[in-house]
Amino acid sequence: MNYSEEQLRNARLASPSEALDRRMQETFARAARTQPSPRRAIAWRWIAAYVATGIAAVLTVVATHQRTVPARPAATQVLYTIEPQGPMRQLLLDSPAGNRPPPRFLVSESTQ
Amino acid sequence: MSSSVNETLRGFYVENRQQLYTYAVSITHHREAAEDAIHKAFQQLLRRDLLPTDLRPYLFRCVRNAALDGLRRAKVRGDSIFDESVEPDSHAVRAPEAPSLAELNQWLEMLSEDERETIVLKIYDAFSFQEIAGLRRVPLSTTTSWYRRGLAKLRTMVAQENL
Repeated sequence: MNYSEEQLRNARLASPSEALDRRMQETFARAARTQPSPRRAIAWRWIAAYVATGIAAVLTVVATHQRTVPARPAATQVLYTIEPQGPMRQLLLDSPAGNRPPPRFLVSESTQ
Repeated sequence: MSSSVNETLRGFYVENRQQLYTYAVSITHHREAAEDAIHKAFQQLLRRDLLPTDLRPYLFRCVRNAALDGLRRAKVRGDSIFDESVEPDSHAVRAPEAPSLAELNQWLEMLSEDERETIVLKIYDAFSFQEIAGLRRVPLSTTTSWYRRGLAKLRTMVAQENL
């Protein structure tokens, strides 16, 4: 701390008057007596009431829904086999012509 | 206004009345105007439902605004932040070159508003530079600059006085 700072710090300060203290005490006392319902507090109370009502409604709906829906049966494994029918079945079952063995040709000699 | 707001403000006033007063006088240069500013600021705050968490800088700003508002209306100035009515403690050893309170006040008055306000907040109200920057809504570097420049001016004045 330098010299100027020290001088300032050590200087005796003027104090607020007792009249100010009295005024302030009266102001605090008057404010404590009146305590009007502020608009913002009322608004917050309304919002809190709406939120509480909403939560209660949701909980009621969920509880009712759980009671009315019957319990589901235990899951069982089901195997489905899909087979084509009609011409499609024939096409799938018959192997392609290229896969079949070639027809046998019989050649016989004739003198006639 | 909730009762907790009332109690908080009442406690704050009791703890900080001297600092608030010194700060307000440094702005208004008039003791009655300073007291009016403090009273007005608290009256306005008592109408509120909630107070900010960091109350100290906020309340000092409210008092500052009220003091500046009063400053615009009235032009009666000249009061010191120091108690010049009481002689310095006779037990305290005062350096021969130490200035009187009247001189100190006169030098403070020669500083700019910003410099004087920053010095008062820093020295008498124990605000940090960061808090002063928040209260005044200026960068930190500006407050440190005001403070250093103000002290440099004061040093020059003290040196000239002692020549």
